[in-house]
Amino acid sequence: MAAMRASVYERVVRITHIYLGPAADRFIDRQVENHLGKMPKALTLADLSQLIDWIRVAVSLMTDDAEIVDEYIEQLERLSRPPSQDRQHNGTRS
Amino acid sequence: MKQAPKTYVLFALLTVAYLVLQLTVTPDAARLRAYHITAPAYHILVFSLSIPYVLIWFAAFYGYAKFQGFSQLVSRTSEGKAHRSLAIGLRWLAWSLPIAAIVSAVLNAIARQATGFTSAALIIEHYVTLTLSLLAFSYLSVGTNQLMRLSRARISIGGMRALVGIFTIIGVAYCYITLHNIYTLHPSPFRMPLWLVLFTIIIPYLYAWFMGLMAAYEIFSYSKKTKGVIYRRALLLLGSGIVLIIATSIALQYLTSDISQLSGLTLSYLVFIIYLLLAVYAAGYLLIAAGSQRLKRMEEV
Repeated sequence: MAAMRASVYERVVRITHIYLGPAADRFIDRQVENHLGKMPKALTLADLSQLIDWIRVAVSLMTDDAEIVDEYIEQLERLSRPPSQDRQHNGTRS
Repeated sequence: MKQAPKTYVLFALLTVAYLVLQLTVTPDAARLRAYHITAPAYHILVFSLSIPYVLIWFAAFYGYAKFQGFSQLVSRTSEGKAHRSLAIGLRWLAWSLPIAAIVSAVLNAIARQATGFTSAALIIEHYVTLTLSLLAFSYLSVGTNQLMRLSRARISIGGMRALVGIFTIIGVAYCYITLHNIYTLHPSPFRMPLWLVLFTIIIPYLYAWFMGLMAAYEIFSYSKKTKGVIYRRALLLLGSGIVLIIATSIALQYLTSDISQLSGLTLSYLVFIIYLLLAVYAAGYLLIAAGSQRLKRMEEV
């Protein structure tokens, strides 16, 4: 229930934390402000697709491990899907 | 002036000062006799040995400049203070090599002109190296401790036992070699009364090395425990680099402070051991540079 109540921004940061640790919130803030031109807290589900494209580019610059990049993007894409379409949950890294 | 260019300008100045000193200072006659070489051959040897030494300094300056760049980027975050302390510690470690080498060359040159200054030169050299070591390891320890507190990580009992075990071996061996040298070598390599050596050289060195070992252990623990798959990989590079640097610094200080104990070794073996350690030291700084570069990218893209 807590996850459902959390804002889009908080859910994106929570997923990003699994991959970028303490740098997660700063990273998402920068992507939203610089590429979407809005305040991070004002992030909506409609912005997600564009944000994910930018995140893919940015994270690919940080690591050569394509598997991790794909896994991270997959986690983010799940946020924009309705719960009924998201039954293939296969766990995340910690 | 930006921080990184300032670092490289300092490196260039220290390098030029060191090379000029190596090429101009008249070699010690006793040393020439001991190594069976002439004065020009000595200068050529010293110059050729100075080049890899300078390259190692460059690796150290490069690594700490990269880390400093990262620490400035995260200065306003919760980890900012800890990374700043680490950057200062790494800076002192990087500077300690050229500073100690230049101070030693200048003091030896003065001592060759004024023989009464030999003891003073040796004493000053000991304290300069010790002060640099204390500064570097204390800052590193403060930084790693702050990171541990932020991540709420704790040192395991097993880890602490291993740390104390390693430190006891290093400490007892150092005390044995140092006291053995004081009692058997005339004049004493420290040129000071035993109590003064004990309280102002041996105890501070042991304290500095314990701080260093503790910092190495803490940064490695933090790197392993911190969250974030990509972040952790970058941090592991950084942590491994810091561990290598601390371990090699301690080994180098150990060797150079009790160098007379190695007098049975030939010149080539002695040079080989020291350069091998310096190469590992440089590798440590290159790991720091690689880790810092990745962490920095995380804060920039």
